[in-house]
Amino acid sequence: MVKIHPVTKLALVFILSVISLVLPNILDVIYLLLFDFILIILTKVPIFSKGFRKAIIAFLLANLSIFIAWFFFSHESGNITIFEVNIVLIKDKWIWHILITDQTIYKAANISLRAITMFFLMLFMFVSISDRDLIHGLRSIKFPFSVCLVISMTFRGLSMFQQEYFVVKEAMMTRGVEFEKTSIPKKIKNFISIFIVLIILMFKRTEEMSASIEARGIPLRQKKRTVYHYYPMKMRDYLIIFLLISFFIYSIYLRIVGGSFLYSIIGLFM
Amino acid sequence: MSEMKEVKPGVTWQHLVVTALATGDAALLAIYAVIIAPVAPFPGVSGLYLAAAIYVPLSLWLGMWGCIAGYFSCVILGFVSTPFGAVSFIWSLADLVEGLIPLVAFRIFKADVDIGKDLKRKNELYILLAILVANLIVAAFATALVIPILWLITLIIAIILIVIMYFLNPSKSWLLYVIFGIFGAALGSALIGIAVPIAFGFGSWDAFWIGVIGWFAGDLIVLSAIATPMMVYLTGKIKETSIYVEGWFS
Amino acid sequence: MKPIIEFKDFSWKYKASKDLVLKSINLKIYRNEFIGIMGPTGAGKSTLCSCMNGLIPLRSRGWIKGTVEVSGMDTQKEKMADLGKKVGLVFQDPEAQFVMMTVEDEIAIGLETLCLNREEIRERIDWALKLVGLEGYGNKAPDELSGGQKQRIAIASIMAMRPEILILDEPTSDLDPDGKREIFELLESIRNEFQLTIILVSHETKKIFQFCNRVVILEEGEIKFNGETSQLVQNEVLFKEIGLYYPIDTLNYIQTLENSKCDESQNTPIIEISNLYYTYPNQTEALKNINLKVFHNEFLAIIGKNGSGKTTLIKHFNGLFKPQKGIVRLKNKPITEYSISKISQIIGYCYQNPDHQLFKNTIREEIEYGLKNLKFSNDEIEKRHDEIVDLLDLKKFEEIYKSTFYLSKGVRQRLALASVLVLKPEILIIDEPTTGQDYRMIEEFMKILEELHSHTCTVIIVTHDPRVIAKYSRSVIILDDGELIGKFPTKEFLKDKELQKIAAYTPP
Repeated sequence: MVKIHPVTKLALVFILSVISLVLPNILDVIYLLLFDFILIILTKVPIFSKGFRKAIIAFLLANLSIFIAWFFFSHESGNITIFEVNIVLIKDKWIWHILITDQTIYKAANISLRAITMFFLMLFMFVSISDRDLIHGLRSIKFPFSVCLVISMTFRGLSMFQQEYFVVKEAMMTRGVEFEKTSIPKKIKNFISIFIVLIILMFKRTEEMSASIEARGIPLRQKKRTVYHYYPMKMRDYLIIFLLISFFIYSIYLRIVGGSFLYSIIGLFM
Repeated sequence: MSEMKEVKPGVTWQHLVVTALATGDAALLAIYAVIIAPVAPFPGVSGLYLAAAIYVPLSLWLGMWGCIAGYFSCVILGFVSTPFGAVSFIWSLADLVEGLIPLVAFRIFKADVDIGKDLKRKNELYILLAILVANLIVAAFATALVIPILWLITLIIAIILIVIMYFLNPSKSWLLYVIFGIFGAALGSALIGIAVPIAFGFGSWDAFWIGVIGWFAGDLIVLSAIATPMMVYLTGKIKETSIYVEGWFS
Repeated sequence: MKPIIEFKDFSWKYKASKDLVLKSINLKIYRNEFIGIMGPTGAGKSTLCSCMNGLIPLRSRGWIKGTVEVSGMDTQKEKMADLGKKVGLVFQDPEAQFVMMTVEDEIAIGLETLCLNREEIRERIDWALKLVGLEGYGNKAPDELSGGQKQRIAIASIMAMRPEILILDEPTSDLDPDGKREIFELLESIRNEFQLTIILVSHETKKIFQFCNRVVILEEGEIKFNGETSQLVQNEVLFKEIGLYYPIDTLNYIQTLENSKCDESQNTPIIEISNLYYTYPNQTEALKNINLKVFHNEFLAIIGKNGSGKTTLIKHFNGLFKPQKGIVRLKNKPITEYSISKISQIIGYCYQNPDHQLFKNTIREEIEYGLKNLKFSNDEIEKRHDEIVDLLDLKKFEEIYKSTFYLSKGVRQRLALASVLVLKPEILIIDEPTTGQDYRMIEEFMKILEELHSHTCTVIIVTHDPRVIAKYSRSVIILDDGELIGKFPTKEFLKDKELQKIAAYTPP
């Protein structure tokens, strides 16, 4: 695949995510989703691998909650009533009344499709931009160094915290704490104990890591600083960003006046 | 000691590093919380949002850095465990506000964040806190179901409980913590946290109060049961480190 | 000659500390010296180092008096960025010094601050990696490196900036003997080549004698000795007075063991391992076909290089890891048939970092924690608490300190041991008990273990410390790359150079 700048990829993901929410016509969202799949194929995202399958299943389950939200907690009137039942009555007032119409299904499917589109854009981003590329990419466009270093340390913090959680949990087990066969209040109490230890360890790590940075004379703010890994933006990056911004502005316009992006493009050629 | 001069550094790398590490820690907690106690129908909402237990203490210990860590940890949660995508940047304002409300209160009223200092009648206070939390959850239902009389009763009970707490432990810090660090934080974040996804179409406005009650109740429980002992136990120690933030950023 | 570092009547107190941590320090360090800084834990060594590069006071809260000048710059007036160009500081924990995701990036971030162009940065990275013997490691992530390698990268990232002064604060405490040797050899070569001023904080007395031309000994924030190494070498009395390790001949250790009683009751294994294999989720084969017996009342040291599988093995002893293949038997029963609470009453486990196993606010609560989990009666809890507090001399700390947060590392280590011993386990497993400890603390700690052993407790220690192995253990288990090389009586091991090489053991 043509090599594009990490920041361009980031912009692609972010702007298209927003566009997927802004576009008024559901057909346009479907075409955007198809574009997602093309990106996925071009970047060879291994969506059938075990890890990705799990992520996709987890996402679809989260997505299911959108349908639950709409089916069980909305009252959209529509042309066809599919299901209706009263559940809870308090003082002659139905406080929980389930009504599923064609409009309910349309609205749920509408937002669900947009969410799926954003999800596959995220997948594309996670696979095609490594955390290292992201940071070097941001620095290449003069993003503040301190922010980039913070992002880098957030990634380090995620894995350090996970490891330390298991160490502390094991340590509690050696003192007779059962984690599996125990009541919920006890689980919460055990959790608080682990939590407190992890917070103390976090503060200790902070002192050590920050001392290491400062000991190298790295200031918080520096007007001029070399960027060692420099990824220059090329003409294609600027072109892609220009197209994205144009698409975004047009989507807002369509949102205001109504209409379809696809039909307006077809109209241009006819 | 009289010849010695006090040194108080401003913003240092410690503040940025702790923000980074706290963001990572809180993000993992948030993801874990959503997995173990999801509140259908709302993706990303947990009935036991463990990360909330860290947002309020972090903001009181680290000032705005703690609020920033809370915000970005929720952004990460949004991308990883919900279908919200880019909306996460707006949705996460709920968790920013959760830390900001108590921080602003403590700074405006110039109160000491060490709620555990000279804490009197700890056991009685915890019991009263538990009753207050239950009362507030009932108040939330009263608001959702529009039952003014019930709402009024719960309000009176809440005021009485707070007054009793103040008599048992006459501490401005404790009072502010209960009002803004538990109630205010939970309410502010619940309102924003549910309104934003609905505004973007992830649910219907008919479900607004269900979502708010679930979020509010979950946060109340976590803030009172987990954040409070953490604040009591750790604040005194953290205040003595050079990471502790007295103002907003240093 | 003008000193390159000068402390003038310098005192420092942290906000959290009760007393001055450094008291009226007057010290001059000259260009090209190799200074060793020694002292018991809590003497102020690390604080002294932090004063030399501006970490104190530029980022620490406290009270200050006097001045520190580095290359003519007052550390209270200069920016850390400027001081950082002159002074490099390497810390104890190699893990905590890595802030970037690859070796190359780690070295580059300091060089970018110097505003060098990319070519120069490239050259310096290559040069620094070559200097520390890690050419070609540029793209490695921190997880792929051993402790010794990480520490060498830390030195590389400092050296790439070409400082005038290099300060190393206990750079080898977390390393195995091979790692320690690598670091000291590196320091010697760079000092000679670059005419650096090197300041080294270490408990490794032999190394200090070998490499440093001057030694400064701190105790309770004051300088107790400041002079040529040759003056110090014969001063065993001073070492004993302060509680520092004075090197003795290995022969003495062996002679001590020759005179000691051998272990009896070799018939009944308390732990028995058969055909044990273990592979981590990332496919690292940590243990391969381990067959082993641990007998009742042994005093056993498990030794081997970093990554040889020692910690993985001991986690099988107490059921934290379940065998993927093979059997682990505890008192003749498969360990999988025991509950967590039952195992914790038979086997006590002390972690290397006591902070990982202190969960409670006060000493009393910490000691009682395990007993309450196992539902002991209040009377029994009280009785055991009193016994253990006496045994480990924790009473005075219980009275003085309201919280475990304020305890020094040595006392926290003791508390961690107390919290485990209070359950009266038959077997005690301790992971690296001597890391970062001074000699006096190590001796006190090991005496406690000796006493436990004399009361029929089986003691198993994972350690790199040659003094502990030689002086206290009765037998050693050697692991190498996940395989069991063998189990040997210590006195045999101490005579066998080949075995010592495999185990990365350097005689004390």
